[in-house]
Formats: sequence, C-alpha cells, structure tokens
Amino acid sequence: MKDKNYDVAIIGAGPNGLICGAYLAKAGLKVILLEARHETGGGLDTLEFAGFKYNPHAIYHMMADIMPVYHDFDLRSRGVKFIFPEVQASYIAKDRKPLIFYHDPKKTAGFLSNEFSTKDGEEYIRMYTEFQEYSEKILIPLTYVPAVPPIEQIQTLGSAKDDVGRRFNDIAELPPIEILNMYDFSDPVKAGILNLFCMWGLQPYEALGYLFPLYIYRMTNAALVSGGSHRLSSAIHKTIIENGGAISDDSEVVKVMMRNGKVEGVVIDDGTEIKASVVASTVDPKQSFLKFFDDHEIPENLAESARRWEWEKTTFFGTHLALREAPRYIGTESFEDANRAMITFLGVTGTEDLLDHLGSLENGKVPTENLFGHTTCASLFDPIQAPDGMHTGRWESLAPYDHDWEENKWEYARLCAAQWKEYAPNLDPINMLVYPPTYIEKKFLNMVKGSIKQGAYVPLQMGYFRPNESCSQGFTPVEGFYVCGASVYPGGMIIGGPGYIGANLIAEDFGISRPWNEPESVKTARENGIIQG
Amino acid sequence: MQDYDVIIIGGGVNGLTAAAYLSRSGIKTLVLEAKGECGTHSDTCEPGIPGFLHNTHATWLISAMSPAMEDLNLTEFGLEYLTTEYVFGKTFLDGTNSLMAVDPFKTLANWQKISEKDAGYLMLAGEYLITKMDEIKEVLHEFLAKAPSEAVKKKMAKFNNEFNASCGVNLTFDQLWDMNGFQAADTIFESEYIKTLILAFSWIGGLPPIHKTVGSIGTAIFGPLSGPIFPVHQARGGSHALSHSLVKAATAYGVKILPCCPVKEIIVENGEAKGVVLSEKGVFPNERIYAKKIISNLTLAPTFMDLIGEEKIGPKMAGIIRKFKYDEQNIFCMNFALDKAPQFKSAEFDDGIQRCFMGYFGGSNTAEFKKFNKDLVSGIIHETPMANWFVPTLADPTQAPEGCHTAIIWQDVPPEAKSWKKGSLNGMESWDEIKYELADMITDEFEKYAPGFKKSIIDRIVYSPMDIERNNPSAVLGNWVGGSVTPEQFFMNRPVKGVLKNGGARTFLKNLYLSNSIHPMGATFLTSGYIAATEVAEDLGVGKPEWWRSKCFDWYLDNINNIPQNLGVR
Repeated sequence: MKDKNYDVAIIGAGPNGLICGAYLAKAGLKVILLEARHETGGGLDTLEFAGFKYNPHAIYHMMADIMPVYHDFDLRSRGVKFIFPEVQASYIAKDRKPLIFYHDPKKTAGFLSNEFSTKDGEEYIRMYTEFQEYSEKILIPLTYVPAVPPIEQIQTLGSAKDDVGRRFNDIAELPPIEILNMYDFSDPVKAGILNLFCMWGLQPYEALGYLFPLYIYRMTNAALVSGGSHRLSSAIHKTIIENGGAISDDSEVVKVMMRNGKVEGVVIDDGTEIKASVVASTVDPKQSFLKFFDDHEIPENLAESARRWEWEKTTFFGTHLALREAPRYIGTESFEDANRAMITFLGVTGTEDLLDHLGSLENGKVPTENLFGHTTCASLFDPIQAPDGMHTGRWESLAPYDHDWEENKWEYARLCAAQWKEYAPNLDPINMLVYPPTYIEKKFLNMVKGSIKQGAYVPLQMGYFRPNESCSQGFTPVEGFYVCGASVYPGGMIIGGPGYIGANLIAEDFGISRPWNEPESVKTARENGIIQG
Repeated sequence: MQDYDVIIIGGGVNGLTAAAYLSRSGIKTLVLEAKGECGTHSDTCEPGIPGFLHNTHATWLISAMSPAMEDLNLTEFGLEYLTTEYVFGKTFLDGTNSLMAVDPFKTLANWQKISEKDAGYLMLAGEYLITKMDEIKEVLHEFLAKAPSEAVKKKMAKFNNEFNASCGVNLTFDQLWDMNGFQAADTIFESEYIKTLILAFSWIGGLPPIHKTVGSIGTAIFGPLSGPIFPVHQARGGSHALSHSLVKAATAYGVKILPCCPVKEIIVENGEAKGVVLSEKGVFPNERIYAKKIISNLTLAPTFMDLIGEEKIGPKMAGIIRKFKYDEQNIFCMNFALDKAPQFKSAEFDDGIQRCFMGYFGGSNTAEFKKFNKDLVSGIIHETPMANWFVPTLADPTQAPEGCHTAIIWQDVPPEAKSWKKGSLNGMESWDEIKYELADMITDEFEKYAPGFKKSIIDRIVYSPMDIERNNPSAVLGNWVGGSVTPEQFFMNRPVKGVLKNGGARTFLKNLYLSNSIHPMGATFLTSGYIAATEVAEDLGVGKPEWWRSKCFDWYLDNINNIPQNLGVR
C-alpha cells in the first residue's frame, strides 16, 4: 500500500472488523483493515477444494438476517442468500426413533406430541414462546447497543413498561440447566434442547442463563449461507472497497503507535507504519493490550485484566468429507425428515449422559467412545457446495485443547468418521480433511487454544465484563483506541454485534452523521423502556 | 435484476481483467462467477495444516508483463511480486544442473560450466536483446495483446530472423514455424543439459515440444527471454493474491461481481446473444439478465455446447467445437508442507539451484523427453516420472510458517489415461483410485534428486485432473490452459478455425465474445481478457480513455529492480 495515512485503522478483518470497516467507510471515513492472514473473513471461512466446499469454522448462523449489516448494505443483492432449512436439528440414536426440531415450532411441537409425549409438545410451545419473547424484546436489541452495567440493566428491565423485563430478570442469572428444569420435558427431548446450547462449549451450570433463551430460539432459526459462510464476509469486503476503504492482507499488526498519550497508528510486521487517529482492535485482549502496547502505555489494571483473560475450556475437532452421496441415517425409515436436518447429532442419548460427557470434557478428557458428533451436509440444502450430484459433509465434536492433536489428528479423524458411519452406513468418503483444535489456533492468532469465541463465556468475561469493565462499551482508557471484536460485548459467534457497536461509537466520536438507521428492534426496545435513552 | 452493458460469465483472471477495463471505461459491467471465489485457476488455499498456503493451480505468475499492471493499477490493490535469483533449474541425476536466472550474467556463469557454445549463444542473444529492447517490446505486445494476424506474424518473423542471425543461429522464422521443439532445440543448442532445460521450461509454460510451431516458439523465443524479459514470479501471499487484486480493482472501478451464480444458458435469439439465465443451483435461481454484449470466460466447449446448444449454433459449428481438444496440458499435482526446503544433490555443481523456486527433474536428454511426450499423447502414464517442481516459499516465505516451506510437483499426464505400468486404466474415472500410488511414485523419484525430501514432508495434498475438473467444470478434463495448445489450436487457429470472426475475441455469434480458450492461451498473461475488452469497447463505440495505454512489459521492465529476490528480501 502506498497510502499510509488513514482516519481509522482496524486490526483484524474477521466479521467484526469487516462490519466496522464497512459502516465507517460508508460514513465517509478513510479506513484501512489490516489482516494477518492472506484471506479476510476470519471464522467466516469456506475452503473450496476440488469442487467441494468446506466450512471449518462458522457454518450455521444464529443471527443471519437479524444482523443490521445484512439490511444496511443490502447484502442480498450482493449474493448473500441465507438458507433456513426446514429441519434444523435431528438426533439419531441407535435404540430409539430420531428426535427432530423443525424451523417451525408448531411442527416441532406436533412431532414431539406424536412421537414422544403430549406434554413435551405443550412444554415446547410454552418454552419457545417465552424464549422468543425474551429474545425479540430484550436479547436481540441488546446485541446491537453498548453494554450496560449489570445493576443498571436489572433496574432498567425491572422498571420497563413491558413486564417482560421483570420476568426476564427472574431467570437471567440462573444456570441454563435450572431454566430448562422449569419446563417439564422428558428425556431425550430435554437432552436435545440442552445440547443446542452446550454444543458451543457453553456450560450447563454457569450462571449465563440469559444466553440460554437466545441460543435455543435462534438455534432453531439458524441459516446456512449459500456457497458457504465466506460469501457473507466477501460481500461485506466488497462494500468496503466500493466505498473507498483499503484492505491489506498479510499485514499482522505488532504495535500500536502512541504520541502524547494518544493513539497515532499501527506498525505491521514488515515494519511499515500506518498513521491513523483511531485504531480499532478486533482481536483478543492479550494481543490488544499486552502485545500492541508496552506496559507503561496502558493502565496497570487493563494489563492485569488481559493477563487474567481465560481461553475456552473446550474446543472442536473437525472432520470434513467429500461424499458421493448424502448420509442416510439408521432408524429413519419412517422419519425421512431426520435425514434432512441442518445439524444431525449423533450419540446424544439422554440428559445424564450429556452432563457426564460435558463434565469429562471439562476435565480435559478426550472422548474416545460414543463420540457426540454433530454433522452437517450443507450441499443437501445448497447444491452449489459440492460438484454435481455429490456432497460435502462436516463432522464436529467438542474436544479439549490439551492433547497431542498433531500426532493423533488422522487417527482421531478416522475414529470420528467411523462413528459417523455407524449411524450412516452409506458413508463412503472419497476425500477427507482433518481439522483438529491445533489448526484453529494455527489459522487464527486470536483463537488461542482453539477459542473460537476469543475467550471463554464465563460470567466474569461476559456482558459488561467482556473484556473488562472499562472496555466493554467499545472505547478504552487509551485515547483513540477502541475494541470491537468477539472478545468484547456482546461476544462472538457471528452475531455482528461488536463491530456494529464499535462503528456507531467511532462515527459518533468523529462527530459525523451516520448514513444508517438504528435497527427496528432497538427502536422498539427503547420505546418499551428495555433500553434507556 | 437490472440490465447491464456487458455480462462476463466467469470471474477468472481474464474475466476480471476484461471487466475492470470495461467498467473503468464507463461501461456497466456484471461478472457472474459460478464458484464462491473468483480466480479459480489463480488460487491459493489451506486444505491442510493452516499457515501452509498451497497454490493449487497457477503457481508461477507471468502477469507482471501484462498491460493491466499499469492500466488497472494492480499494485495499489495489494499485488506484490517476488521471485528468486534463479527462476528455473533443471537438476540431473549425475549431480549437475542447468539454470536460468533473472540476471543473464548469472545464467551465463552456469552455462559456461556446461557448454562454451551454448554460453556463447546466450551472450550474443543478451547483447541483441539489450540493444533492441524497445522494438522487442513492441513486437511482443502485438504478439500477446492483439488479435493474431498475418501482419503480427510478419513482425515476429522480422524480429526473430534478426535475432537468430545476430546469435549466429542459421534459422529463419519460417523454418522455425514448421519445426517442433526438439528440432528447434537441436538447431540452436549443443548441450543436452541446456536443451532439456529450455524444453522443460517451455513445456511447463504450456508449449509441448512434440508439436510443430507450438514447441519451436516455446523453445526458440519464450525460453531464452524468460527471466530478464519475461517475468517468472510468485505473488506475496500466494497466486490467489493476483485474483484478490483483480477483484478489488474491478470492484473499485464499479464492476458488480456476483459469486455463486453459475450461468445455465446464454440467451441467443436470431443468431445474437442477448443475455443469460442463471442456474437454479445459484443464489439467484433462474434469474434472466440482459446485456448488449456477453463475454464468456468459460472455455470453448462449455460456452457453446452447454450454455447455447447445437440447435442454436447449427451442426457444422457444433461439429467443429466438439472436436476442440482438451487432453494436453493436464497435470497431476502434489502440494507438500515441508519442515525444510529441498536440498538438491546438484547444489555441489552450482548452488544457484538452492536459490531457484522452480525447476524440473527427470528427462536427462531429449530422447527421454520425446518418449515421455509420445506416451503422453498416446494416453500412457510414463513409467519414470518427469515433473516440474516449485518451492514457492524460497521467493515468498509468508506462504508457510516461519522456517517451514511448501513445495509443489506437477507432472504432465494424459487425463483420459489408458494405461500405467502396463496395466489398463479407465480414463478420468481411474484418478480417484490411483492418485495416491502415483503420488508416492513421483515423490520417490524426486527424492533421488533432493535426498531427504521425503523426511521433510509434514503434509501432502494430491490433486488429480479429476479433482481439477470437479473444481472447475470449464477446465474440461482438468485442462489448465483453456484447451490444448496444438498447432490446430494455436495463434490464428485458436481456439479452433471457424469460431472467431474479425478479431481475437469476437465469435461467430453476434454480441458474444470469448476471453478464454483464445489467444495467447490460458496462464496469467491477462491478455486474453485484454483482447476481449479491447474488442467489446470498440464495438460499443467507447474510445480508449487516457489511462488505457500501457504496453506489455512496460511495468515489468520498469520495476524489475524492485522485485525482491530470495526469501522476499529486496
């Protein structure tokens, strides 16, 4: 790049960096994104190889069409097509009929009533309705506004016009398992619902209850991106270029430059200095505060909080297959829909088993028997992801990071494929790609120990505390330095929150008018007193 | 969807080049790409251990010679070239090597160890080229970036006759045109080491020595110019960086690019192309989009047979197009992740081989080359491997984690192989079965030239012609060059006689142009797209804007001294 002077330098061109850059470029600021890899998009990564598309990271998107960036940039006209499979999840078991969750909650309830119990059907509708209300009125709007201190949040919700705030306050601090226990589900339905939350490496006993309704509601409303997840980032990327923004690949930032206590720009690994009056980091707190700054340049408590930052305890092992035909599962003769699920879960039998399994993962054990895998055959819904008539299959299972994965990756991948084949006897791959936890870290500097969310989802690292009390709203104690990646409120998982909030904040601080409107859900939440101001 | 002035089917490097030129000229342009990612044949991916970037198609880039470099400002969009001091090496089992360097004096030093006579030729060639650079540039620009014609051929003849005479080679251009590569090599060079160096290089450049004209042009012109005049590069971050820069440039100049939009039909009414219909597989199923001009960046057969059909083009044209050949320039490809760079046995003879990112092993004399080439055109996988190798990380260390390297081996293979090791094969269908065994055999052979190579492998990806075709169905049989380069499909005949009318890209169907399968051929010249853009702009009555003025080689010769050599160090 010849030009080395910008208004804003954004560190990292993952989803949040791209979103932040897109809005700021549109607002007329001179923006540059600096990406360490040769490719932008971060976890929105689609590998195309020999005609098969593989999505080793993000594949199903909870906030697909809810993300403001999708509407504000008319990404549909740029070729971003979200596909909402009718069957969102199915659980295949060896000794019983499959359990199916549909996109349409009434269909799920009907299925549960017919195949499990009437009670299960009724409870599902009750739970879904409540979770939907919490999500739409509270959790979704809060995803796109800055974090609020917890006490203030409770007070606001408690005094809101709509009593949903008070009802939500009652459950917000509970562990997910306790919220789930408020509904009278039988097994394996209960296990199936709990697993939709825990499959992300989230703990059933952590006090993160407020996330539970959102995940359950959205994990039955999730979408795939036609052509693979990378299409989403690629479309945002193009809006930046169109609006005159610059994107520099292979440019790892190693230092933030300071002058008179203010940010002055960044230095990239080849020594190039880029001047910018605002620097926005979308990478993890350890890089943001410990690598980019010398200790004396930032307050000690900031450095200390970064040093204490915890990575996730469990991560993922992936196995990707090129298939001549789509998997057909056992026990689905009378349940054809179970073969058409976006996510097919294997091995999850009941709640006790699931809790044992999660507990042993938490203790660092590598599962070797009865692996709990979740598989996706994206080409069933999106034939463009594989050569004509063929299919691409993805296996993922939770795994601890600490293990000799480099030594054992192929053996473990074969174990996963064998487990998959036990449930889908027609599985006959012509090619296999392995994606152990170590690859996650090797690919992304900010996913240390395979932390796909850039840091554990534990109460002290969530909400107003993500990444810490002084930075969760996007600005930091360092003048001109902002944070807006997955390690900042509201977090990771391609929800498009941090980058959007960061862009709003930076535009405001530049004193420029924003050529976009607040999302409708946020406006409504303000009217209802759920959001102040 | 709204209408466009121009629709380009296929966002490969030539499609993107044409799009960027046209849109920057004020023409409303849409690119429809079937895959998710543009630049299918200029691609870099990480299918194995992250951090090891594998170039699965184009590996050495020659785009630095393209007028697009300056006209489209590609370096402003992030394109950065790197190379090594030596750009091509032939390494021999007897422990010697023959080398080509960017600096002709370094080439000379190597050749002097091999053959006084051939070194003498090189010296005279260098003297001629340096003094006549401006004229040569002009001739080569016309040869590469304009529609082939008798007039262009005459200019080439004049240049080549003078060149040969000044190098003391008793050969006219007309004689050369009628020779194959082996005959040309025998006429010009004395040493088998040098002959096989040049033959291997032009062969891997897409010009097989067994064919007349094609082989001799490669051997007598393309070979000797490479390095100091003809670029041999890596792009920083891998070959896909070229695609990235073109996507960025095209987008910045106003092109709309829609990936995941395969076209299933070109709308043809009364012998005239009117628009396209998108496939139901893509993101805008069955959408019809109209335009004044359509450029197909797919290869010849899929364009006419799949997207238009015999009933629209008639049995005569269908017959011609069906005969278009795709069965040469098909490679079997292996990408390796290594914990150290290959150490060549021949480094003792000349350690330049260790600072050379690309070369060839096997085929120690022209007789072996002839046998291999003959097997190839007969559908036989040759018993002893002969292949091109690359170590891209010697030029661009960013393509692997620190201290590690990548390597690529390409062997020319018959895609519809009939036999191997005396056993019979079932054409394309056999690749899934034999690919790992063949890969092992080729790897074992390379080990003889670079002992310790096998021990340094930490990951391997094997990519057969079948995989390449699955990846890109327009690359029929996995052909990488847009259709075989044979005398019947070369220069004025390309793609094949009867398809083009009045130029280098205009087809026999009104308003339909090609930017693939046409002259010069696939590879990263970017001039097929340039030729298509020139003719479309002309036909739309758009005058050439002020920025559209660069000539082939302008950028390269101006910037040659700024291009880092060896490990990305300037």
